[in-house]
Amino acid sequence: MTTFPGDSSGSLAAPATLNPITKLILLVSACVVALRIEDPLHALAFFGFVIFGHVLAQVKPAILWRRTRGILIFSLILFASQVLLVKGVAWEVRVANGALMSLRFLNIVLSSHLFVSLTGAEDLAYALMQAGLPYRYGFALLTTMRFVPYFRMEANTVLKAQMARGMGVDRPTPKGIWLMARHTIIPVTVTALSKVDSLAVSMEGRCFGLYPDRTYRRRILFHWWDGAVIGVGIVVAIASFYLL
Amino acid sequence: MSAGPKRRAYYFSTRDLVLIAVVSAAGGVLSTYVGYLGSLMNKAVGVPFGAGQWMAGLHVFWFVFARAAVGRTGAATLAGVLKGLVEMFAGSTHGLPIVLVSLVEGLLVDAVLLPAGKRPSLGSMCLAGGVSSASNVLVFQALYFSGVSVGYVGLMTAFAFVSGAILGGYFARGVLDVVSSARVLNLDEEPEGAGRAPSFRVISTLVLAVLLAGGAVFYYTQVFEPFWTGPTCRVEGMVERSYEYRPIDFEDDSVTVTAELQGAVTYVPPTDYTGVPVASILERAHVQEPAEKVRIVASDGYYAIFDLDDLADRPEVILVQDKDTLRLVAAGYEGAYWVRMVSRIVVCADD
Repeated sequence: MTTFPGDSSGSLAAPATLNPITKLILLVSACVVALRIEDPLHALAFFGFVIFGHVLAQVKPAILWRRTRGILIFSLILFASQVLLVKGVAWEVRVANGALMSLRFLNIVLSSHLFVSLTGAEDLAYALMQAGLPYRYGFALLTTMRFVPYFRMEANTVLKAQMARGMGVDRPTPKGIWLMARHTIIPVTVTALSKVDSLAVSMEGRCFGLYPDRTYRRRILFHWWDGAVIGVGIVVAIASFYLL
Repeated sequence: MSAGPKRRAYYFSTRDLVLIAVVSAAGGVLSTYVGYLGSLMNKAVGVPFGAGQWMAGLHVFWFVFARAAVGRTGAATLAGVLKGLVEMFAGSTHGLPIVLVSLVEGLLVDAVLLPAGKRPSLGSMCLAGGVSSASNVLVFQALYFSGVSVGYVGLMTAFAFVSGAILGGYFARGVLDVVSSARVLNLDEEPEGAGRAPSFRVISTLVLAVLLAGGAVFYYTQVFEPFWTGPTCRVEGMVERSYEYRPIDFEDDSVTVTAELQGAVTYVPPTDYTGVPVASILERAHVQEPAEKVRIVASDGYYAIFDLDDLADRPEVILVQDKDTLRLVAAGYEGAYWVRMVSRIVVCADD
């Protein structure tokens, strides 16, 4: 599955207008509820709720299918393995357990997918910093996310180069794992570390960390309805411990 | 001209934070590929999950490396959170739980290396890698795979531990030596044991060992419930609390009765049977009004119906474990009421 974080500021979808922290708390609540559900029919209803969330967020079905078909296939494998491999239990129980397990997995992964589709990592980092997270740690998250495309390209280049040299770095064997570790991870790690000192010196040269607080050019707004939605999310998560 | 404000001293310097960030980014990127290889390994072995645990050490390599390179407790935890977030935003097949898994892995690396000082030894790095890597199996097991046998979970945990010790600990130490000798990373070299009195290290190790041992004793005596691999049946219908009946949960209610099976075809002379009264099983489910009947259903669809009040007065009607199945011994009833392979107990209003 590959996801493409959405830009909430440009989307007209209702869930996208929520503060990223609100969306994060909703995601945690959704995962808690998904884990608490023990009836396959309830899990199916929750699955419908999550899909409805995707509709509200205006995620196109074709895109959703392309991003999540691997997950759906894996959940089917989970279901089949529960039905076919578990011994000593009536088949109705195995089917119910398999369905519950698969739906639990799907509900958690699709809820996360919805969150990622509606929230950019940068927005989340800024929202957390504006909510009180020390900005140096928030900046660590931003730095991490900004390096991802670069390392993705670098890792791809290294992998292809090693494969072109005839190394079996793409084989799921113990030797392949060791080759992958030795001839892919080391070059990528060295590339990563080569950036550390120059970036750190550059940041300190610009007085990063001089003050305990910082100012923001762009504010991530926290509306009254964010508070209401967070309240509902927390109440639902707590209620799931008593009602489900 | 003013000298300006004095630079603050932080627990993690800017360089530490950048190091943790780039290592987490690289780890997050390569984890996608490692996960893909793990899936291939599962397919090659022919299991839905588990075989990929041989790769698990490559996930924790980054935490052990970050902790050893930075030399401060907390570096692995921070790397865990950042790597987990990268994986989630990059479209991990696990969603939010991957952040939790990475966080626990990072925390364990920090906890195991807590007494190890600024530059941990090879042995402690291997131990940290192994423990951290093994934790992913237990976290995922707790979240999803509640029905998997304890043997399979143990096997996966062992795979993950070995992988973590080799790829997370041994390999991380090797990479650290490489980048240090190549001057890619300037580590503040500190001889092992320097900077603090040996007694502090011994004491902190002992404290950690006592805490871990105490935690283990508490867990296994107060919290841990052994995985049940024997037969179960569902108690449902007009009850407040549907649940999965397991004989192990009713050991204290177990009774022995002598019963004689007199069927139209089958006859079994008086024999001693040990099991749990159906009345006790129903009591735990809290039967609701206006329930009157109890249907004992077998996995092949066969069932027998009992009067609820009648069952309450007959503690000799018991559910016994018969190898891998449950069997109803209905003392005092004719043979047709003795149900084999019981899969459900349904409380209902009438027939």
